[in-house]
Amino acid sequence: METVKYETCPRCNSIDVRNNVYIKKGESIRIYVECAKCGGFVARYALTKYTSDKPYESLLQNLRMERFPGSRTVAKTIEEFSTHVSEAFEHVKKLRDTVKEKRKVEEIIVEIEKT
Amino acid sequence: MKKWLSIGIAILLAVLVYLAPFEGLTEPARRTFAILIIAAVLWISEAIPLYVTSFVIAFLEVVLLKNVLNVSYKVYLYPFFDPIIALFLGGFVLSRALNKYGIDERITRAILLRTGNSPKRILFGMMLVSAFLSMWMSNTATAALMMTIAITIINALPEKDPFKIGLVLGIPFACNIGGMATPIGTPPNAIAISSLASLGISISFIKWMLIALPIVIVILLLTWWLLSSMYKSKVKNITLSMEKLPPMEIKDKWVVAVFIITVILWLTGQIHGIPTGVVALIPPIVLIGGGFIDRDDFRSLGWDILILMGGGLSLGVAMQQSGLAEWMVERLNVGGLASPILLMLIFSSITVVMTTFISNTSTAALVLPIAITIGAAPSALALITAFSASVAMILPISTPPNAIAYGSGLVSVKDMAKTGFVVTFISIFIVTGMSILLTRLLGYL
Repeated sequence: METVKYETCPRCNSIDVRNNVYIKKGESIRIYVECAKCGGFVARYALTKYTSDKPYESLLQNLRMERFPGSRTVAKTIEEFSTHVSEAFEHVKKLRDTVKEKRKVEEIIVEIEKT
Repeated sequence: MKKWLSIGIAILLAVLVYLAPFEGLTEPARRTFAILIIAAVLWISEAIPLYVTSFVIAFLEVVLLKNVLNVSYKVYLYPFFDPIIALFLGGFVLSRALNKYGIDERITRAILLRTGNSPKRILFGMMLVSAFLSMWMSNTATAALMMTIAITIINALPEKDPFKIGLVLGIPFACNIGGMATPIGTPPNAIAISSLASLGISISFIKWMLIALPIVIVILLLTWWLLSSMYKSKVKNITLSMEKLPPMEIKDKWVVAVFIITVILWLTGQIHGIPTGVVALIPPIVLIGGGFIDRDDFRSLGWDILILMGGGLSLGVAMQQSGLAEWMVERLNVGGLASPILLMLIFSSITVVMTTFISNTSTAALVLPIAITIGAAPSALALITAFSASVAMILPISTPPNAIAYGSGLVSVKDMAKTGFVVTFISIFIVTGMSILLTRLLGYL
């Protein structure tokens, strides 16, 4: 199962949101999503991996946290990373336009965890 | 499909080896030979994750060997928490803390700001930092950090400056070389120490460094000279634009203190008598207990590598106990070679060729049990095998740092192979010659 939906403000239903990236040394990076319309709290995410528009630089950041038992895994990770991000982004956008997801994000998460 | 084919080949070869009429091969050794074949095929093909092969080894050993050798099944499971695994665990925690609190970046900055601005000196500084950090941290993490800095330097260079290639190659090469210097630098070192311990030969942390560090320095300088001669820059000076780091906070200082204390205790093991594996528990106790490292960090510490190492050690135990290693040495007649130096060069070359294509940990696990069984100079042979597992750097798939550098798109396979081959070839002789000399000086030969 795969689905996509816009993050929606629970107060005003706006899909216009801002990401506040909170970084504190020694802690996981957190993203506080704020409604751009009413300023209300929408959601919070804890970041495990970050990818910018410069995939190789992002990959280097991710690799700094990882250990690999062999080089083939690293080579595969690099190969997937360079092509995967842009392809996946396009796929997600396409999916968003075709799947009209009505459930809330938390409902989807609970459902997936059950299965 | 390829995966199942490899698994099928592994099983088929194992059965053939088990049924083959090898002269003088006892039943336990025959069974161990079959396990060795399965492990080798799975490690080479990576049909299943490398660490899962370690579980396969442990499972097969318990099922196939326990009764014929009349030993407790725990014998094959103990290696998964061998003191050397504890040593590595401590090293992993330290490494994570150094990374998380940016101490690695501070060390990098401190060294690079003192090495000067000429391309040759910058290459030297980058390689020195890479090698130094790799002594204590994962080679992959170090290569990733140093490549980030290299890219900022490269962006400031003229478009077709050959120095770019030299810099990109210098980082992985130095990371591979630096890993040799300490017992926690790379898993083959640990497998060598643990294998020798099974023969009653103990190599302390400091003695390892006394042997390995001179070898590292010689190969590093040679590689630097080679790269700076082959890839000369078009510019005379490079300005390093490094952002000023904020002053160290109290938590950063704690991490540095734990690092220094742990390293001092590792180096002075013969004075205080606390085994290195036990000293290695200090970083987890202080850094996790003190909240410097959280549960998520702990979960992602590289357990797969520890399990891979455990499987390698467990396989070594089975090869020794069953007499397979001894039988192989007799059959190969390597002990009968006229020159022990030639024998060591052969082992170094075999290790290098294997490591060029498969994981260095798997290579060490396959070669070391045989190397230490050859009567003459097991210490020198074990060290040579471990070091040789680090000096193979011909292809992008040879080591994780090589793969990272190649992934930048700034070097071709040809560039890497051309320079990597020269470094690897010369290193075989340096590693063999200096290991013999230094083990003799320290009384291991």
